[in-house]
Amino acid sequence: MLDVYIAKTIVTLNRSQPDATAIAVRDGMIVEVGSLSSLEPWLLREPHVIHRTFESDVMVPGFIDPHLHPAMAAVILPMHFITAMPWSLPWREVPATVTPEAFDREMVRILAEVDDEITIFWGHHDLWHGAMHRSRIDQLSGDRPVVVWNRSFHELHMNHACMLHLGIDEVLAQRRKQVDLDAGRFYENGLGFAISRLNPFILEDARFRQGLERLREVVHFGGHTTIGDMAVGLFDFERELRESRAIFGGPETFFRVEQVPHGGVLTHGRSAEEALAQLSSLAAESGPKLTFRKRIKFFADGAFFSQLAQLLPPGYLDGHEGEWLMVPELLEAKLREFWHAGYRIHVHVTGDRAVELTLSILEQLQSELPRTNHGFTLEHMGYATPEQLAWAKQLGVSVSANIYYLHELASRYAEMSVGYERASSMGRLGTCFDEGLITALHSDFTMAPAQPLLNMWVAVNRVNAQGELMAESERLTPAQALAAVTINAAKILGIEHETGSLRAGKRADVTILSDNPLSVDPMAIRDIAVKGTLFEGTLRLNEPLHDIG
Amino acid sequence: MTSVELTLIGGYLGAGKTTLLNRMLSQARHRFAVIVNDLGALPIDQALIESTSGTSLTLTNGCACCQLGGDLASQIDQLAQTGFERVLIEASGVAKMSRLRDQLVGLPGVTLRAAMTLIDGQSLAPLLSSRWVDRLIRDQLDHADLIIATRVMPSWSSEQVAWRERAVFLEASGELPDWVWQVQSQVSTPGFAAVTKPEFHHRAVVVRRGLSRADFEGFVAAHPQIQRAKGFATLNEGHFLVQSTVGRCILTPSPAQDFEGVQFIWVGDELPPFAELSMDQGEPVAEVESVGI
Repeated sequence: MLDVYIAKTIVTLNRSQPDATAIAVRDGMIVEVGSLSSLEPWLLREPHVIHRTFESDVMVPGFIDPHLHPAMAAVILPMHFITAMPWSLPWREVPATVTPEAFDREMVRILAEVDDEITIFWGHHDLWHGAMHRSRIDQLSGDRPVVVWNRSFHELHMNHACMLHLGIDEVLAQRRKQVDLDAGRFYENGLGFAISRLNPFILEDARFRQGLERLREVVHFGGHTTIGDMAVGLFDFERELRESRAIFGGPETFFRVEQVPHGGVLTHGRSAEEALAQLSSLAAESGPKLTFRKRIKFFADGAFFSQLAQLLPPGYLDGHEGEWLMVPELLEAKLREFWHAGYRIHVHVTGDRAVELTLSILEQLQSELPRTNHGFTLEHMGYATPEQLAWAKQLGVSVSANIYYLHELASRYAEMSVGYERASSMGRLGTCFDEGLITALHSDFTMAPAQPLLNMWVAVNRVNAQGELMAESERLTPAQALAAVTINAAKILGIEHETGSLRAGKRADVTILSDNPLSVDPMAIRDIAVKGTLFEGTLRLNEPLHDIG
Repeated sequence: MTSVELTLIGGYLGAGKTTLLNRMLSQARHRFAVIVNDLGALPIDQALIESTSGTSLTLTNGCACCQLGGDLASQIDQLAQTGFERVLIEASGVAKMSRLRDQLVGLPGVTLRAAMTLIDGQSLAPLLSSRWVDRLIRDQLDHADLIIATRVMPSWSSEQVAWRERAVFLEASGELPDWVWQVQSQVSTPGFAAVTKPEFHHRAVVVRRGLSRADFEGFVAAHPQIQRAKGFATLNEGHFLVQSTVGRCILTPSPAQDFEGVQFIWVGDELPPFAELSMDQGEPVAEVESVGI
């Protein structure tokens, strides 16, 4: 049986036939893309159903987010969002909350609605919401335990009731650095202490599973048909494997999870042979929806949101230094092991100094064992120089970028972190495309919303949160941005032969949109509605529609 | 309250941290515990191991070795409660000694006995000219009470007098010299003085309706601590791009109505009274199209 879907426009990203109006699917595979008349040879031979539900909609290849963290999302998504940026979550539109008073009002409103053992709010930011303090929360909720988590995740405040509930007494807390008991503030190492106390609650089985289920909704809502879990083992390798299989392996999940293990965790305290053997068996036992392949992830420098990216001179405005997450020589040794074993290697790099190091290592590895189509990918790439990107091309490197940094941080970083020139040119994606690098966009969810259309919007318009155009010449065309969330993202994960564009022989992974991102006003790309997806030919709708088929 | 003396052992990869720890454990002159980055990499003589439990080892001489966990202070507490008065911490090769000291100095009940940085004398010069870790190495040396040179004593240059004065050479084998056990933290070590820079703060404000250009300019003028203001505001006269630097406020009419929000940068502790400027409680925020964090 063939299912034939008719659309106003089908954007295929297949150069030989960029536009189409009909797509025929059998057993999860595309048999042909074209028009009803060009499909005639199939329709004459095979029984078929023609679906016209989407004939006024637009179809694009199924969206792919090659880099997010389900385990981290599972911890954050059960929290109550109060954020300065609007967040579209499947179960709630979170409006922008931009004043201290409005933040407090939201807390009161939510507290009246929920009955959590500990009520946790996520998204507080001093810049908009004013300084947080224990007494501020105490005034709103004197007797119920409340935690207010900072948007960066690196700091939290709790009220007195919460300290009592968690058994944090003064003697204990005073023995910690980076704990301000009066303010109820826990940050950096003090945060580790607070988390160790909160863990039984935030990592509790049912809550963690609820978090993964919510992530599944988020991924559906964004219109994805593939995601990359770009560091399995971030919290707990075995538990993540087990829970991911339980939640994402079933029939309620309409996307595949490409799993890339956290190299630091996997190789900690053991030989490369042991790690490689474990990865081989994981790849062999991969199920239809969750797949390990010869891929590995390492971390070079610190977090972009924490200003711990390693920068080349002139560095940061205040003279502080970024951080390495792994000794450079050790990073080289680990990359060498997996390079020689034929792996596709992903390296988290946020600063240009980390890019420099990573490319230097790769150049050395290429001289030891030349490889082509090796999939070596720079992940995030906050800052990189034009010269580095030309060098990256020579080495065959791909880029998977978090372009949302530009929208959310560029204005602030221009003033407070690195100055205007470098802040405005973070995420130099125009240069990446000009150099011919395979370039994709990701959300690193929950660092950015998992909404490919929103990330496309940032890449195409390069408008920061204050409305200012940043480095106009680094803007992508809408077609480039669409490729960056589909076919290029598939190449980053090494699955471009199976998905990422619409042509005969690929899996029927399609995202259904209300409008065409290639022809709407570029500033309206983020307003396009995601109506649903076909995942391997199975239809899933974001909102219930009647008259299917 | 229990009291613990801490010794930090820092230094870059290959400086000899693990070797020193191993020698200290096998020649222990008193009972102590070590917290290490990678327990598996510590080549402890099997004959010395009394028992193993999860991520810690107990040795026959009463010493213990633990794998570094998430909350260092909790680990120190636990060791103190099990009767250890001295704890050694092996820092990661990329840890800054300045940051470690910040984290640990001044904890009630904890005394920093010494921060020691190991350096392979042969690799000092290449490390200091490394493109990747030069400043890290300087930090590790600047913030050590004692610099322990392994393999060879470096030939210190004239700019490195402050390091030379604190450096001792450690033989690769044999019985550890007395100073290893006796070194004490100095009250202050050279190179600690932080550069004092003015402290900048920032806050984003969505300007409420009903204010005029003059109101806005007056607000900026009335609060000289405001160094910069940048963003968009809807005032009585229209929608404006705001670009203000000290003493000069430029408002340019802006056609783009999509954005609201002005980022203020001010210096010092005096918070400008943004409540005069920002949306009050009654105003809805949902109409704000896009705003920063």
